[in-house]
Amino acid sequence: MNRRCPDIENLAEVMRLPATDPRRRHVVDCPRCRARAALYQRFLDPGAVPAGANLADARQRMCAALEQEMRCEAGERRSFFDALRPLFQPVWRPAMGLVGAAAAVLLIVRLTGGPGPGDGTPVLRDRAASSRAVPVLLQPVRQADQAILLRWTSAPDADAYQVILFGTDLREKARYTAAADTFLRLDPERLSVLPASLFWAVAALRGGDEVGRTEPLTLDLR
Amino acid sequence: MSPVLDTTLADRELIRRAREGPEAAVRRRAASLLLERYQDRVYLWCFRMVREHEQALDVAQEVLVSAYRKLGSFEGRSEFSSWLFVIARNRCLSVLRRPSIFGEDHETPEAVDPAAWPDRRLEENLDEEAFLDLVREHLDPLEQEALWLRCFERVPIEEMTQMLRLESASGARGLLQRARRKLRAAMTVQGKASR
Repeated sequence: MNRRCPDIENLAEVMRLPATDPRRRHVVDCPRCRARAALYQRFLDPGAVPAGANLADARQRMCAALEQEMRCEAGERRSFFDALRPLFQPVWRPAMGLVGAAAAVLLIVRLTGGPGPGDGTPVLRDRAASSRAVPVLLQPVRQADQAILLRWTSAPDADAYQVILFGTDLREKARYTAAADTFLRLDPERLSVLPASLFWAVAALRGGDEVGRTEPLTLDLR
Repeated sequence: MSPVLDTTLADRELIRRAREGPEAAVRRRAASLLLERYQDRVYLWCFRMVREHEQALDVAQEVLVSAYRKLGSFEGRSEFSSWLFVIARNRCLSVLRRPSIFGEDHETPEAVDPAAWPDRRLEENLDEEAFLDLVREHLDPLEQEALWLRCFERVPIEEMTQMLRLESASGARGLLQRARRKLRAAMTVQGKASR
């Protein structure tokens, strides 16, 4: 970046300076700053809704996406002790006593050399995904411009999804990240480079790790 | 039930409550109010850039979710709207194809007359600062802005036409064509001079 060009974030502030201020004069003289300032102005004051835009639909779906993100985050931030708190209600105390006794027995068996993991054999984490981590694939929708909308239900344990397309030989052909959305649009440009018959699956991710995946389903692009 | 918050609170106050509110529900409500305040602008901006509802919506949702996730790192050194604008702009830039700087719109670089294009590799290894000097030296202000909007900010022709208050898209294309022709000529002269 040119030493005199302000950060885009600070352009608004610079534009409020007196016209004689050298920083403001720079913005007016510099094609890059002028273009960026004009774009920021356009962002603030978008004018009439352009043809083809669907603001009502957008509002509804943006709110839903935000709500989903907030629900996810609320789940994540719940502390370990908060999660355990209900177990210490009086009604659960006898059960907690039994669990404690069972744990004590297991500990004694373990200390006296009973069988168990930890003898040097690596233990693999069970990869079987719980139903909370596996979305359900919904019927794809063909749109007016011939694009295909792939849809699936949200999985409570996931914070992002990836759509994986497989060829009929079940080799992976493409993978798209859908972020936290529960749909992905395959526009005609994308479709044109894909074979007509495919399988598709959705992988649920949490913190970048795959936590579940749907079974592949056929996808006819013709 | 969502906690009640005054919807007329200023951005800064909503940000403060979103970060430091006494309860998670208050923090979420404040963040939600703040982002809903800007969601139309974000969507319309994205729509004007990508020109297609579903894709614009995809991008707009990513922008809002990303802003929500990063809200804790917003330091308040600029306005919230400019901070959000930067996220939206960067996200749109990542999904828009960069048009050729020296070639014509909707043409592959190969379609340009090699004689008129001094060095094809130049575009790939372009030094933005040096190019900025060249643009300032050889183009008039309207041509400068048009070329910058189109080639560096990846603004579609239709949107550029409106932003620059040009009469028609063909007028905008003509303006770009003229700017590119001047630049190619300037670079040819510069190339000959440096040999």
